[in-house]
Formats: sequence, structure tokens, C-alpha cells
Amino acid sequence: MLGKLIKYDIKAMSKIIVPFWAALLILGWVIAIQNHFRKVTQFSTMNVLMIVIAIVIITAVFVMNIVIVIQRFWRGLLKEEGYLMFTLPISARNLIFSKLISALLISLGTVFVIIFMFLPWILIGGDLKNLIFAFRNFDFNNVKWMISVIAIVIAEIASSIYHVYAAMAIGQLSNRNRFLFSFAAFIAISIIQSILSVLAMDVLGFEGNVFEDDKLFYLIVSVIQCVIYHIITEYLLSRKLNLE
Amino acid sequence: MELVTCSHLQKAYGKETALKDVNLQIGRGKIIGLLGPNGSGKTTLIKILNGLLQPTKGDVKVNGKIPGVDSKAIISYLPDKMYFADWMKVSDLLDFFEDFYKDFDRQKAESMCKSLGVSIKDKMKKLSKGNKEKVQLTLVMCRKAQLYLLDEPIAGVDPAARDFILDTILNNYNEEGTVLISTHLIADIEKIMDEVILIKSGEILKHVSADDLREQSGKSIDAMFREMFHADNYIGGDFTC
Repeated sequence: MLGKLIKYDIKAMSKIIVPFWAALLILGWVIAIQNHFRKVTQFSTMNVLMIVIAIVIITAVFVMNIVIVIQRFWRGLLKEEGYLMFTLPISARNLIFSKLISALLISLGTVFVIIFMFLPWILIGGDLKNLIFAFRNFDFNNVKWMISVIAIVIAEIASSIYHVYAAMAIGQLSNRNRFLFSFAAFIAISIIQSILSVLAMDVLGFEGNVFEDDKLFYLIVSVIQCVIYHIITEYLLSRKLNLE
Repeated sequence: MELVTCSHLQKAYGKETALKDVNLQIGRGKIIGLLGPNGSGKTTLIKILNGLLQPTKGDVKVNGKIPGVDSKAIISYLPDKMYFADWMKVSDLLDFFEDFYKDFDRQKAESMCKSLGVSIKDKMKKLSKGNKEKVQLTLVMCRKAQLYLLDEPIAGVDPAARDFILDTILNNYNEEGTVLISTHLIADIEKIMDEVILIKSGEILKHVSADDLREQSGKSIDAMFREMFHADNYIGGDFTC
């Protein structure tokens, strides 16, 4: 059942985000080809313009990504669509997991698209040899480091998504303005989270540098946040659901 | 075992009480009218039965279990609003129901859509309001459910659409199951009701068989309803008595 739910959530999200991804990838090729033929080495007006457009579109895609993650949860569970979703013979836990996993996959998709956007630069720009050289001389001792950083990034994205979900689950309790109440809950959770993080780091004596030795600490903190946010969200949506 | 049992059920929204100490037992194989004026608690009761709202106090059981995954599998619910996502085509909704409800009859749903003149390739948001409502009803009634909860299925539609809706309900419901129809338009469903639940200001005033009620009062249920809820007559819309 979870797989089927994810299928529908991904379908709904991809209808909005895929055109933005396509725009990014096309822009990547356009910039690379334009650079190649004009042999631009310095900052020409055209080049600056292209970079500005690229930054604007990348920002727009990030914002759109955040908007659809929020929108799929808000509209998909707490507005009219909630009448369909919460009357399916499926637990609230699976509904939340489905939203989280699909949001996570879409967010990772956005990150990959942005990385791939720069691929034409390497392919056309003649840096391919350097890239192959870099791969050949890759120090595989770094793999462990990379995996741990990727794990932290995924856990951080998941905990950020859960943070928003928990805020909306609290916000829907309001009989007046559910959206404003969700926003207030988001800020309140952020404050509590910051205070607890500072206290935890102080007590445990961590320096706060994710690239050094504190990686495990960061991973554990993110996982704990995910678990706490999930418990709050699941409790509220299964025991205190308040559809308008 | 009764299909639905509510004991001392209460629901409050802040200081406002929507249901006050509701005690109710609903059996199987019946068509029941949940009748009351606007704001009497009909929708709240239906939402509690299918787990969309949690009671403030008291217990609800559907087929012996509190509303949850098991009860949702046997309830087919028609809300008083559109509940599909904007991006969906009719075929997406059919896939959706087929994926999640084991008792959904896709073939029947497809042929009913065809008879409505709705192609399954049509986007839901591009259908007329009337057709959206009909497709939603078709999906709900093409399940072989134990309990159909139909919230205001005939409100806000023209008389021809009302006939279609009532015919669809009568021709398709699982006869071993129970249909609970909430409405304030009694004249239209008077003939099909086996039982009547009268609700006002969150309290159940009567739960009796439709024939008994007519016999006792010597009037049609519609006429009786208008007398009982005198101030709400105008909301009902049609003055046939």
C-alpha cells in the first residue's frame, strides 16, 4: 500500500516540478554551448546575464521544491483531498511516510538536476580530461567521508521536511486560522529545536563543525529530530485529526 | 452485532457543541435518512463515523471496532465536497479506487461513466460541476461496501440530477449493507427510506422506522419535518406539502 501511495504522490509532484527540471537542464546546455562558441574567458554582458538567469532559475526550482512539499501535505491531507486520503483503509503512519519519502525523492531529484545542469560545461568545455584524471586519482579513502556526508544531507532534508509536517499537523488543530497557526507552530518548533541543540552541544562538548569529527553527532541529532517530529505528526493526524 | 454503535457521543468545536450525548444503533441492510436542518450535526456525525473527526467524549464503533483501517475498508463515503486532486483524470481516480479498495468494481464504474457521457480520459477539473459530482457518486457506489455514508448527495443539484443520483444509489448499493443519507431535502428521499434519524442541534430526536413514523403522525415525513423544524422550512427549498 505504501508503494501505491508513493506512486500517486510522486505523480502529483512531478507534474509541477518536472518542467522546472527540464528548464534547468536545457539552460545548462544553452550556457555551455554559448560559452563554447563565443570562447568567453572574461565576464561579458551575455555571460553575466546567463549566470544571473541560471541563479534565478535554480532559486526558483528550490523555492518550487519547498512549495510543493508543503502543498502536497497541506492540500493532500489537510484540505479537501484529505477526505479521500483519510478515508482510505490505510494508517496515518503510511500516509505520512508516503508524503515524506516522495518529498525526499523529489528534493534529491532537484539536487541531482542542479548537479547535472553543470555536466554540459564539463563535456563541451573540454574539462572532460580533467574530470577523468580526477576520477582516476580519486582517493577511495574519501568514500567513507562522502557516504557519511550524504547520509547527513539526507537526514537533514528529512528532518526539515518533518519539521514542516509537524508544524502543519499542529496548525490543523486550530478552528480559526489553520495556516497562521501552522506558521506559528513552525517558528515555535524552530526556537525549541535551536535551544535544545545548543544545550546538547554544550553538554556534550561539540564544536559544531559538520566536516570534522562531529558527523555522527549530526546524523544522530537529525535522526532523533525525525523520530520526534514523526511521533508528533502521527499522533495528531491519527488521534486529533480536525478536517474542516 | 449492530453495524454502528454510538454511545454518549459528544463533539465540541472549541466552545461550540456540535453533538450532545448521541446514543445510536444502526443495523444492516437498510436505507436510513439522517434528517435535520443545516448545522444540526449531520456532517459531524458522519465525519466521526469514518474517522475524519475524533469525538470529544463517548464511543463510536463500526462493525465492532473504533474507526480505523478496518472500518474504513468497509465504509464508502461521499463527502459534501469534491475530494479529488486537480491533476487527476477520471482514469486516475478509477486506478486510485482500484488500488486501494478491494471491493471496487472498475468495470461497472467505467460503464457508468460512459453512460454519463464522461470519457475516462477527461480531466476531472474540466468536467462540469454536475458531472464531477456524478463521477464521485459513481466511484462511491461502485464499491460493495457494508456502510455507505452519503453526506448531502442531492443538495445543490437540479431535479433531473437528483433523480440520477437517487437511481444510482438504489440500483448499485450492496443490499447486505446500509446506506446512511444525510439531507434536509426530505421529499426527494421519502419513498426510499426504511428508517429515519431526526437530528437537531446535535441531539437525536427520533430514530424510528419510516412507516411507523408516518403511521404515528398520520403525515408524510416531509410534512412532519417541516412542522418540527418550522424555522428551517425556507432552507429546505421545495414547498410541496
